[in-house]
Amino acid sequence: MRSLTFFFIVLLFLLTTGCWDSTAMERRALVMNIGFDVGEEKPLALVLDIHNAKQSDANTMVGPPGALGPAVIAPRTEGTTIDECLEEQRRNMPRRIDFGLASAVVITEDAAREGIFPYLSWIFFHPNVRNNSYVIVTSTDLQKLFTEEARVVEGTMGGALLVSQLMADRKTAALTRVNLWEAYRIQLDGTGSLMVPFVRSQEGRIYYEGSAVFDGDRMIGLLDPDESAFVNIIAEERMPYLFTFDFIPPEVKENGQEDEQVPAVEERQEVQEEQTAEEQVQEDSEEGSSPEKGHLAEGDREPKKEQKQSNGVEGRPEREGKMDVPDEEASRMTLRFYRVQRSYDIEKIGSQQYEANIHVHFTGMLSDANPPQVRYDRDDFDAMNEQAAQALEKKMQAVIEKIQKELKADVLHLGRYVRPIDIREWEAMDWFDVYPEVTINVSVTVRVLGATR
Amino acid sequence: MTDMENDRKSLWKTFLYKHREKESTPPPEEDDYKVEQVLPSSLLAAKEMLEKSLGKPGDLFFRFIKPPALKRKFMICALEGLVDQKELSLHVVEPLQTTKEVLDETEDILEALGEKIISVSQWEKIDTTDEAKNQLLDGNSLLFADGLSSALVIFNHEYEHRTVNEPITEQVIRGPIEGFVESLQVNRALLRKHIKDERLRLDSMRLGRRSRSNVIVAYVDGIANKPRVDAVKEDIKSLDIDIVHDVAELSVLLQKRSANIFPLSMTSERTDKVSAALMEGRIAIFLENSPAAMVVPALFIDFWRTPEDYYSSPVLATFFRFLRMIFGNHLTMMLPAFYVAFTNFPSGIIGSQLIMNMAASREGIAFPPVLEVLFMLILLDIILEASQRLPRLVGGATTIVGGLILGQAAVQAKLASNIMVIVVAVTAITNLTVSNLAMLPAMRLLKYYFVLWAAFFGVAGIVFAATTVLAYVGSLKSYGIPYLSQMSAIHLRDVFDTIYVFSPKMRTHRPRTFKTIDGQRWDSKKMKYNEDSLDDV
Amino acid sequence: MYSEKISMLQIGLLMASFFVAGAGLYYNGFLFQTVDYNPFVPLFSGLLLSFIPAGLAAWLCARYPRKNILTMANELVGPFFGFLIVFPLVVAHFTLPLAISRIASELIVDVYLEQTPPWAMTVVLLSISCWIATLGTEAVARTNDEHLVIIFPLTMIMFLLSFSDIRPELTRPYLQVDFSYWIQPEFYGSLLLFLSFTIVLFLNNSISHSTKIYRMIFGLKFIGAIYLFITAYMILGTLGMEMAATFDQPLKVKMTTLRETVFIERIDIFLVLLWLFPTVTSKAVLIVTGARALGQWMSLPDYRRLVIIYYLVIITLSPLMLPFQHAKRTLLYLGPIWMLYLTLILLILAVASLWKNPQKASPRR
Repeated sequence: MRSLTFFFIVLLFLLTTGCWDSTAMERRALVMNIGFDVGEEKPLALVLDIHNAKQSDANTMVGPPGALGPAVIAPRTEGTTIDECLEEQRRNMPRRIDFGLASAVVITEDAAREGIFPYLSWIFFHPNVRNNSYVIVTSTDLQKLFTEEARVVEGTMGGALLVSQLMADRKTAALTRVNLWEAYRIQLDGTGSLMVPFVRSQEGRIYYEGSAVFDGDRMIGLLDPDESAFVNIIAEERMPYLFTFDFIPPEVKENGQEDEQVPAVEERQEVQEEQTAEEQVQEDSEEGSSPEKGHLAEGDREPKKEQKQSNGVEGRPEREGKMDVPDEEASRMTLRFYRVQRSYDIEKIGSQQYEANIHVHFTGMLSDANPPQVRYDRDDFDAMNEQAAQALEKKMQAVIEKIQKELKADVLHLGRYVRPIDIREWEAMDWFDVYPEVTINVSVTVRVLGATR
Repeated sequence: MTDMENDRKSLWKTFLYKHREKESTPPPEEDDYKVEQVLPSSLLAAKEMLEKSLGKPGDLFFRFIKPPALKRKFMICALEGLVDQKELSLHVVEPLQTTKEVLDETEDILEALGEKIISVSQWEKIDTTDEAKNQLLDGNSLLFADGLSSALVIFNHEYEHRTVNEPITEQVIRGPIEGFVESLQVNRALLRKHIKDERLRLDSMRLGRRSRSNVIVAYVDGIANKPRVDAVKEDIKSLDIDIVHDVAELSVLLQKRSANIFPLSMTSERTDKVSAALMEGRIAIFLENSPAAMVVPALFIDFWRTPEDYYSSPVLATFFRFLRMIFGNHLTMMLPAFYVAFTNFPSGIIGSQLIMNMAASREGIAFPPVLEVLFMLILLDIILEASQRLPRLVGGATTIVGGLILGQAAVQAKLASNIMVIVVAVTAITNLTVSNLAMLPAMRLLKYYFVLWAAFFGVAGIVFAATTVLAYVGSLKSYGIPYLSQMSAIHLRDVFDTIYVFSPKMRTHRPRTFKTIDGQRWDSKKMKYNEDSLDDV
Repeated sequence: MYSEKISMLQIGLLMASFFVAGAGLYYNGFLFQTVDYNPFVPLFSGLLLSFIPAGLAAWLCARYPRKNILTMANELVGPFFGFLIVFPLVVAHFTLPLAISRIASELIVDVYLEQTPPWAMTVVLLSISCWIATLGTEAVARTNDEHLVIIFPLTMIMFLLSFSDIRPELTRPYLQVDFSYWIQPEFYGSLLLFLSFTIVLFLNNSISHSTKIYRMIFGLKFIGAIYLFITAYMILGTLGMEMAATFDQPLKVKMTTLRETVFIERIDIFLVLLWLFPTVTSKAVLIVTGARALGQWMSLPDYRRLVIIYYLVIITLSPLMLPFQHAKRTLLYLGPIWMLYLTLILLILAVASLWKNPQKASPRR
């Protein structure tokens, strides 16, 4: 009884403390994405992507027509600091701004080229913003990006349109993904360079156009989707990945007809299409002629492909199988890699001199784009392994050349591995001075396990 | 307690328990000054005495007999309706009237009557008026003989009682379906039928200054902890009260904390449940006119156990206990609170799709979430309360009006969001997963407590509420046994039958919590599974 | 003197609560601020250092079963000196809850209730702890049992969700050691976490089987060290040394980086609230042991009303800890002072015990 009395006294005392955080849901503006831009008059601009719950499909009790307003409101405010921008948002917003659902931090290219660290650190220390939200750089105007009527399955529901592809397939190599906390850490410990997905919006669709590469906190360049896929494969072991190269069967090679044959790499031009693959399915089947089209759907179409495999023998005769004649000497071969093992072997070869040996081992299968009529034997597969490895190696060297010499950005995060080798020296030196001089050797091995059928 | 300690306490007591000081003055001890009155020897005087003390009731009847073979006049006196009149006339009146035997006047005539003439199964000789009155009120008949200041009690009481049938409040799919009834004799017999052990003790005593009801304290000697049995008996003896109607009332009266909402004793109508409890070393208390037994000590986990847990496979039992205890219990207590926490506090905890839906359904609702929840919960409890008391025919209508029409109308009138209606419906259903109805009111009340905390601190408030509730439950004790025993880690072996139900082979011993004398209940090593057993793997 | 019964397992769980709460609230913050790299060395150094007082405590508890440190001191050095040397420990028991409440409130305010002033959370946490303390030692222990039952699966979830983000190379180097931690005050502050065994000294008279208490003390130290190692590894592998050292509560930050799960997008809120359970009970056990000791000196029949007095005092004093840095500094100084003092008085008691009765072998059960 005594303790109960005490408890009631305590409870009464607590009830007088008030509830600061309690705001009814209908009094809150739910921010879906946070956008940063360079202002026109002032240095900064803040654009919030605010979901209008009244407009949602779940609102079964709709009011009079026209009273609901747009599905998304994206007010833009300018100021000299982010807090000033937010303050003005608060002034103009009849509801309390709630960042709890913010799933992406979108920064325009202009702002990114001036440095993103202030944004990152402001958000990171802003309570209520999820630290696992994504960082995205865009070339589209933010208000347009947020408010444009979406024409994808997701609709406006959830407002997570921007990141829905990032969320849908976490493993695919072609999409760069970076979380807020990750970006913040990379800025802070300097063991690598930041690589952020670069998006563009067009007619209600989001196109992922490779990645923006940062030096420190400034954006310095762009990697196209294929290059960023390679970087993702090496740095994060992301899979699956489709790779097409020119394959010369061993018996042809023995004949000596194609001595100088260097396997040409088929670039994939339309990676952005694969990002919005859901949309693409229909178009694909309508066009169905271009050889690359079918190869590209690694990400979102992955499950479908698996289904096809399990279905058994019958292929898709109207599709790519026709395009290559089997008895041609060099056929275009597409491999679908589903596993990659990467190892960094970094050695210190002198004071502030390092040598990095990167070994990448791919494991994959022939994709369904290859001629089904051909039966390959052991020798064919051995040749395939060798030739694919050569082609991949060449490609990778080109990518590494570009990021190391041209952009001078450590997007492969070699610094993370250099750091523990001699941490005293690491603390003394500036890694980004040393990095361009590091010898990077890439070696690739490939193992093709068979055909998908 | 010394005076000094008294002084030290008095300040505190006057501050908090002023009202209780008055209660603690001891009742006047009348028994000490009472003089035992001997029965009057004259029949008429006896009649007059009885009529006077009972206030000339209509159901009190007297029958005078003058046996031809005997010199004396006899008087039978009983209360109509309480006695078996057929037995009385057949085995007392008729033998007296037709007897040819001449009794020796020198020996005690009443005892001689009992031994030689009257053919009832049970009788006793008494001398005092108090005893006479008590026996009369207990429903026995009195036989007076003229000129003798004593009487013969003929035990032929016959109360009206229900027949043994299925307990309504504790229905099971499997297991015995006989339940206790309001008659103590029947209950005692039912218990004896279950446990044919010579060491089953059914100690009877009286309770109630005015009701003088019979109480039976049942336990198994050699299993039950003796000091605890004595403590229970002592408590009942020291309960000086007019009348106790039901064991549930008794359990409330025996509680030390008056503001406690958790049941500290388990009342059960099921014979198998009570006999199992006795076998665990617990004590059952039966009260006259109460169809249930009160089992002490009771633990928190007991209210989530059902007899069926032991009649089915341990895996199934674990699953269903999980449903009841983890999901049912927590949903019913916390779901409204979580609704408040999610709608009233910064979002982002749960999926944005759900948050969107909730936000959409909240648009245009007149009340803030807390009021909305309180409004709907009180409405729900009113409907539950109403449908409990109403006759069955009307009850159905209440449910339909309350559940369907009101819920739908509330949503359409924008008094509540449609997600709230689902929350309330789930709360109402999960309420009923509790296996013993004694725990239900506590759970129904606690949901308001959780809502209150959630309204102030959101999810953190729910954590605080859970902490305080757990601590409170943890501080309770039932006859010296902590309420959370078996669930908290005093005896690791007892955990085998809490949230998880382990195989019976792991539960071969009685719970150590109860400090039983004989610990083993099943010698599983002696078990020989021959080839024709149920399970041949 | 108070007839309360706690089993060995319950005492172990109480100590486990200290580890869980401490790791979540302050320990990792101190740990990462002691060194530039390789914080595992200070972790294990701290563990080894704490073995000195823990070993002494275990030895004394086994030598004097059913007697707590008050009775021991009373018998060994006399009532006056006994009171004098034990009283500072009680003061430490009474100070710590306030600082911990403030730090825990920072956690809640940072992660979930960002507009609530920290003093309100501090008051709430203190009130709940004090209320649980008024229910008595047994109730505290039982509440703690149930709390650990709740948080055990959540801890498992926390670990499972954490491992996908870990990059092992960030936790390296393991072999290059930065010995500068010996001169860092944070290292000595972090020793506070290893002092959970003091509650055994105070509750020794209520523990059944107290002669084998050393098993519990050392077993819990071992398990606690593993828990600390895993949490430190998780933080380091995700945030990296440079980032982790900038936070006062890095484990909280680590939790906020967890990926969204199937349905719960910010599981970190649930996981952070998970530390409130052990925090509340560990504070309650500190308060209740302090009040018990005071009650025993004053020979009060019921020590619980001392808790109410303590509550009123501590609420009045709570504005002292309003700035977060004050609470942090309190822990920073309390850790080494307490540790040193405890070692000292345990040594005194051990020497006195050997002096008075050198032949007495520790009783065996």
